[in-house]
Amino acid sequence: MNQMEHQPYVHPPHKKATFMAFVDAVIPPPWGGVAIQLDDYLIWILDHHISVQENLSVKTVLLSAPTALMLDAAATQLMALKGMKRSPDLLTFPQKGAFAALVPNDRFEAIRLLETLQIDLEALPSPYRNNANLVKNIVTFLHQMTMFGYYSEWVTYGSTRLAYPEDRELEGRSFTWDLAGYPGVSCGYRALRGFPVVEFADKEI
Amino acid sequence: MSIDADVIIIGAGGGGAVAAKELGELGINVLVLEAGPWYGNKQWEEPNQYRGPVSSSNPDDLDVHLLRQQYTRYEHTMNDIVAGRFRWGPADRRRPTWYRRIPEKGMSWQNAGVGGTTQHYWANSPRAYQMAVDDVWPISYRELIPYYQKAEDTLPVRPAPATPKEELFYYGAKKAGWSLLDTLNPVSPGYRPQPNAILPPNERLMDPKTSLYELSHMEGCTMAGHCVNGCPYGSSVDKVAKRATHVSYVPLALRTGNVDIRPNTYTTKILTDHHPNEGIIASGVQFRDTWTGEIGELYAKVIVMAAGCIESPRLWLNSELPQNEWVGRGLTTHYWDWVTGVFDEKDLMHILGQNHVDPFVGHTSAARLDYPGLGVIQPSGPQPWLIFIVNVWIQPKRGCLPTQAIP
Repeated sequence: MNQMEHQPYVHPPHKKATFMAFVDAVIPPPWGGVAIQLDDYLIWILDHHISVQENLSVKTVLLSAPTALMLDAAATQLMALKGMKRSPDLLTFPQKGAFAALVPNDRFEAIRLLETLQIDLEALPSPYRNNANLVKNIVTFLHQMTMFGYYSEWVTYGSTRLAYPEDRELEGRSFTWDLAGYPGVSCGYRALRGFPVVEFADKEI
Repeated sequence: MSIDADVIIIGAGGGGAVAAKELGELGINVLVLEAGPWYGNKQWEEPNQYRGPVSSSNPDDLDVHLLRQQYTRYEHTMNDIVAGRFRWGPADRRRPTWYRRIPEKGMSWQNAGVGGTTQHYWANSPRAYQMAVDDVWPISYRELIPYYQKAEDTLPVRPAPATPKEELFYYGAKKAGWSLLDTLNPVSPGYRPQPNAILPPNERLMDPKTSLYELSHMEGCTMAGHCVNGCPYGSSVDKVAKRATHVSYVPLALRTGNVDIRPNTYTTKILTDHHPNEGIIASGVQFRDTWTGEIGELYAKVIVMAAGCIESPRLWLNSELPQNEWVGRGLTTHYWDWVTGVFDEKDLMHILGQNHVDPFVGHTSAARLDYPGLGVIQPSGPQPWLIFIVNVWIQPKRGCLPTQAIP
């Protein structure tokens, strides 16, 4: 049993705003990531991804909070680089951190600073501090998982979407499948068009 | 010293299951250690929720009804790399993955579990190019052929059938001037069906008198396109359409009566002895029970490492086995780009006789254009996550077909 079991999914407003800003930039409205609360998915995934062996037990590393702070650090650096003074987007993300306060294009620029390591690695929180490999790997991971969460059936688990995986129950169909033209799981398709090659010829040489 | 088996095999995936079947048929007593769960086995009705017994060696334990329940075909449930049933992590999905520190942006997309990564592979089973083997590996292409043939006959590997997405690809390849190949050993460029480890479609697939639901419980591929999600289609576990090793080699291994498979058992170290004549020899393994955390040891005359391209060398190095120049060499990865085409409905009507092409229909990848020495282009049609490029980066229009280029 790990220590996550009874943790309620109420996130500090700053962390929530930061991941909302991330998914909003990657999949913008309408029908964007914020509409299906994909920020909750990213936070859950980040907090269930990594475990390390400690002296007496295996410990789960909760990555969501330091990841939000890392995005903020990148945003702060971008603001300094561009001479920005304050947020142009206060209304959308009232619980802002520096990252959430940026307009979407600037959020991508901040992410780019992380991807290209144009960032003060010493200023990042643990476990990212002076850990370039982890920074690059997790920033890519965030992109992948945002897309994965959006197009998978995660949102259709509705009220059980943040339960432990084996306790989740389907409650409908995601509009993202309609956007992708995906009909859902299937027993098969009567789509056979024939066999261009019936047998491969030279099994031996 | 008492031994637990003649041979211990580490890993029940693409390699270990094959070794278990071959050794079992020779009358050798084999114990297979697998880190992940076992789906489709009556001994573990809820393999992600309960620890269950230690091992299974009875082919009658295999149960296709269970496999159908467990392989839901839903991407998040099956393929989520953090929380899915196919992940590199323990059977208990409340717990995190076994973290791998991967420098840069790569991703190691492997599955723990009986069947290993063949649970989600696309069943594409091409032979290597001869030029990629000769003078590169310590075995020649010619020496490899009998092994290829044996695996191709056992799985079996067949030329993939065409659905509209392959017809479109073949049309383009032909129009671009390439020739159709019918060989397993391409030496010049051309296009051909993928050699896939997937049973041929059921003869009644195109007959509406048999429902698709009924067909999914019969022998033969139904073109459902769920190769990557874990194929549950077939009349019994050993007749499941996509020939992952837990439905092909594992049933054959169990039927020999000489093979015992122990899931939820993560091998952490190779144990060695000093032999007066041979020097250092492997004598056993140390393992950790993934449900209880308990550490144990098992002993055998021979240890076979079949834990995959990352875990086998890692285990070798962590066990401080003697220096061997091949440990950690030869890692072959998918280094790929994706290209997406958008077609006019009129063109599709002309080529296919229909105004759309659905990427998710048919084998996930059923055709390829080989260019020995350079790489491969293959049409592919996985589930919505992997076709997101179609809709995110390009305005949606019916008739999109993603294509991969793998150098």
